[in-house]
Amino acid sequence: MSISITRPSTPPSLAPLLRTSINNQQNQQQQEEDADGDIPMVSSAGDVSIVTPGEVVTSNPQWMRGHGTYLVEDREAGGMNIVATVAGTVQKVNKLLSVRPLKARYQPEIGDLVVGRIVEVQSKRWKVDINSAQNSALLLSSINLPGGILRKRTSTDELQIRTFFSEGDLLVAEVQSLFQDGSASLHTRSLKYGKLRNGYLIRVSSRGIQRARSQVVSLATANGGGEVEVVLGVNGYVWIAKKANTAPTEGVSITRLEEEASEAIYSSKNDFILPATRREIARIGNCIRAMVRCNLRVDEDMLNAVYEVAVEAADQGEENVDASLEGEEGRRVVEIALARKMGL
Amino acid sequence: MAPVANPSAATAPTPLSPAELSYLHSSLSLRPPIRPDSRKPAQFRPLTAELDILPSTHGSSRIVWPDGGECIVGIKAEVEKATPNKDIRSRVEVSVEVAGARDDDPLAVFLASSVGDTLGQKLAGRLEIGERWHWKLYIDILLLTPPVSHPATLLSLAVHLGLRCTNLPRLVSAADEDPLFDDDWDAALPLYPSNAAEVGDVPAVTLLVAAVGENIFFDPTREEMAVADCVLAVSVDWDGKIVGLRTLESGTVSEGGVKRKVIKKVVEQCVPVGKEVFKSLEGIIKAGF
Repeated sequence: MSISITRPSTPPSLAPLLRTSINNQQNQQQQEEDADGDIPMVSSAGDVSIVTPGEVVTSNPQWMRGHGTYLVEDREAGGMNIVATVAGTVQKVNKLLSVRPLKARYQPEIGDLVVGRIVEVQSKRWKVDINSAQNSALLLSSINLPGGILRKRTSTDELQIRTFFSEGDLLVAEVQSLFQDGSASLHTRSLKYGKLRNGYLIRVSSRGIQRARSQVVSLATANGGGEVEVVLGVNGYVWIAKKANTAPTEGVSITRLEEEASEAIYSSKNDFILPATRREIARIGNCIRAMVRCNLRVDEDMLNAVYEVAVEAADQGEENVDASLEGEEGRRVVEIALARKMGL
Repeated sequence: MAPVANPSAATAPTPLSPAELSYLHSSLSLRPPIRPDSRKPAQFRPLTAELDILPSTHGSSRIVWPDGGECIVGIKAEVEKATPNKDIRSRVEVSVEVAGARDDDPLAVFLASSVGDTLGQKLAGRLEIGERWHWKLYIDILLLTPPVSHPATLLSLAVHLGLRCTNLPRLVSAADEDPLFDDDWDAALPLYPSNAAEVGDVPAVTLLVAAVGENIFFDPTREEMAVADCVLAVSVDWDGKIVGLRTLESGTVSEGGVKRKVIKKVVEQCVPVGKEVFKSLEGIIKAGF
């Protein structure tokens, strides 16, 4: 079957799990609300009610407005209404009322590992798209320069800024600081960070990526694919690439090695990648997309489990099994992996 | 105020990095090729379709891609006095609106003209009412999300489904009189009768095909299109006849140019794939009735 057109289906069966957890939270809140004499946020049917932009959340003056809301004067009753500016669920912390958006862009935080794409080159810095509301900045002074880490930045470096990164290049970086307007300043001053090659980028929602101890996952793939490295950018950009060979050549001093390594950092040439590795890279990408589609957070354990199931499904599946894991097949694979994880 | 959804995304997407381009190009030119989402060369991404979703139109449809591309088509009909010596293709007016783009956006203009050309005279011939009057069809297409990949296929399938579920009021007057229609909406006649598929008289669909080296890919994603040697929009009729072929701007990786052999292969492969697409469309229409 080369094409499948289906009618819209009910949401994935993982959704009920999510809803019960929200319900519990909301029920607790409802009890508090009743005590406060405020409007209930949960409808009588027990479903989570979602506020939409422009909807009056409350007119009760005891609440302070938080993120995702604004105050507007109520002409008829007098007083002020708190109105939602985004579509989402209502959150209350003490007397602060905020609306948590259902779908939002990535908001950078200091220390986040992000994957970004250069969109603009300026005289002393790059503008990097990291899937957030504003492009972030990468200063020339916050990258490793080839030829030793502790070198002064000269005007020559400024002139050849494009030899380090140019438009379209992908890089992995860390959020170093935040500007007043919430945009981020990145740095790549570690050998772990820098330009990306030998792989493929997939984009998912930033909510689909779990913040973990390590965002870089190394997978030993099946079918002779070798080691594959997955960089789970907290911003929802995921880089899947062949793991670089790190066999040190003999007779080279530490400093020399460092120098060589940092020169290789800015290369855009791919190494030779086996077709088997390419196939597994594609499979890992499909797994991540399927997980995010099923409202599952991607982390190392879960990715390993889903990948394992996907490999098995492809091995025993007949010709017509959908390897792209879109639609039903992806959901099935994720459900099996989840069931295994929970020990069912 | 909410930030405008990245306006540059629709018009000028950021280029891919050289490493990505070379990775994609070499993956796709392998034999057998490896697509970045493990699809087979002739495999489409799964689509979700709905029919008759807009109550105030004569026919409507909605198609959604898994990557978020969404297209809504509404079809309205009006009675118009026939003007002699006028191109009958003017009886169908197509307008495309891409969310977040200007009206004169090149993409919208291209899509509108390609839909109009594909439907062509065959549809216009269906719109006769007697001798002096005819229907005028307005096909309004809304692309809801800025397209991640080229929306030509999505659009043409949505238009096909919209037209197939279009109902027009039944004519009660004689052919030479001024037209008078049945008030009863239940008595309305479908523009395409339910056996239209068996007769083979259904609107053509446009398929997007990308060629990398000797390999051919259906329903290419944006990344695949970026590295393709050429991208063709091929319009196929029910009986496998190619009714239109347009070249779209192609990638930048190779030196450009495409062999005649490859074009021939594209056209040959479009016939069986087109058959399968029609079969799939037929399934959803049968279920919708």
